Amino acid sequence: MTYMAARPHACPPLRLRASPHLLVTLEIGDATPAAFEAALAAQVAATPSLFWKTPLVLDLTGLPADAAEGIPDLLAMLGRFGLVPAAAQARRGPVLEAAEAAGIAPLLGHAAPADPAERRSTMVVRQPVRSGQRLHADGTDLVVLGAVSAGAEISADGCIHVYGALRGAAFAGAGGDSDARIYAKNLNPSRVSIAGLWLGAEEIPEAWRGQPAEVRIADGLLRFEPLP
Amino acid sequence: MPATVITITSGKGGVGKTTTTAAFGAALALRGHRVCAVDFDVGLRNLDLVLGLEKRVVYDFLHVAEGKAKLGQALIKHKQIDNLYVLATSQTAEKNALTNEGVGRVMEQLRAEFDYVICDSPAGIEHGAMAALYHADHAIVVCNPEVSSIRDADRILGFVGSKSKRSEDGRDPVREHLLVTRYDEDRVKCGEMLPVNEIKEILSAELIGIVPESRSVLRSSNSGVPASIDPQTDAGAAYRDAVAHFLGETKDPIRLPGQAVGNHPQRGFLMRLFRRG
Repeated sequence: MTYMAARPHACPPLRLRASPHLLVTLEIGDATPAAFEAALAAQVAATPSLFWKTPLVLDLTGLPADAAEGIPDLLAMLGRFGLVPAAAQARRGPVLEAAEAAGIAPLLGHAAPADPAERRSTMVVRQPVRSGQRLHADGTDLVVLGAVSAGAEISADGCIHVYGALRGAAFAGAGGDSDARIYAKNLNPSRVSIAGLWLGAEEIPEAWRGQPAEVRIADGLLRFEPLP
Repeated sequence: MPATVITITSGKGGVGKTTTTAAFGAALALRGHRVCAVDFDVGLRNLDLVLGLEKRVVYDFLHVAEGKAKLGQALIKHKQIDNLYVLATSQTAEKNALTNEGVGRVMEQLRAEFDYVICDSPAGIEHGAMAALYHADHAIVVCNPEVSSIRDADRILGFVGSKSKRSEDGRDPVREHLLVTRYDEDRVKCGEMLPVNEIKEILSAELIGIVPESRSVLRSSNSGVPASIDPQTDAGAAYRDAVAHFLGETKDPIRLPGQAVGNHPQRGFLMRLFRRG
């Protein structure tokens, strides 16, 4: 039988379909290989069936650029535990390139941003941000020179600086950067959040209300620091 | 020179937009400017009542916008104030009856005829309020000294900044002014109302005046006379002061009601001293 002899109405040899599949995502933290192996062994022992020969998405967004050289070892280790990494996403270009070089495709829509040195310029807002307005600084820092009113929402993938009163909600590190910070000359927000960790207005210690302050993550908690 | 368009707005209802439109328009007209006050509150027509010319409305804004009447047929001249005209709105039409094109045509004609066009915005943030804001060169946000009014004023200031024709055309932004009305010093002192400096701080807009809660306002609305016509009343003096500040004629600090003409001269003098100190 030759290919030429195939029946005219047979199925075409190729068909492309975009279909959503439910995939398990494995978030890789920035840890030593030994610590990582111990954590992985514990996880696999707890739920062996969840991992055995299951295609996985590797979430490498938490890794710094210099972790790229460890990627081949990481993949080899995952293989020993029976994991099948199918695709990866990363924040740093070199990490994603290392994964690609090892045959792991970047997840669609999650291409790594350009070299951090070529970052986007800071978004500066000169007008007050009014109640009901919503602002997002995509991939960069946000600077608001006036006040952010109660009922307004500002967010940034980087840090947020407010030189007036911050009375609305502020989300820094919206893309997951836990090093992001919030600075306000008069901190009185309805909500603050950094990389998903958040505090509501009533949980913010009274001593910090109306004060010039910095909010950042330390030891896994939101911390407040005075501004000089 | 084409007219300057001033929109009187607030977000919240019942704060004194229509009273302010009438009083501000009258005070400008008394200074010799040609002024047209335009009611944008389709279906809840009030401006004609407050100015005492409800019986003379034949054609309205919608008739002109739809080309069913000429502008000259719809404009109503105030009997006591020579330069003040009113374009009433329709009491019967649907509230969404104003189309952008129709409003644009009418505003163009008004701009050619007058020095100032004062638009009385409906409450809320829907179609009518946006139509009233769209053509503004200046927005006067009317606000009472209480929290919900201040939040709504803040919300509407956001729309002033983003939804105006000026911002679409990339021209200088709409000038934002703040007018505090129904101010009652005794209630501020006992903490029932917010002090003016706090309102100013929250809204970060330029304050042009403080109008006291006053019987003279109700009296003049009910009798169809603009509140600014009598400068001897506390509200009348406050509205005239607000117009002077709006026009940039005076750099004096804004007078708090109670320091107004005639009331307590000694106290006013002392308070001025304290505020400078």
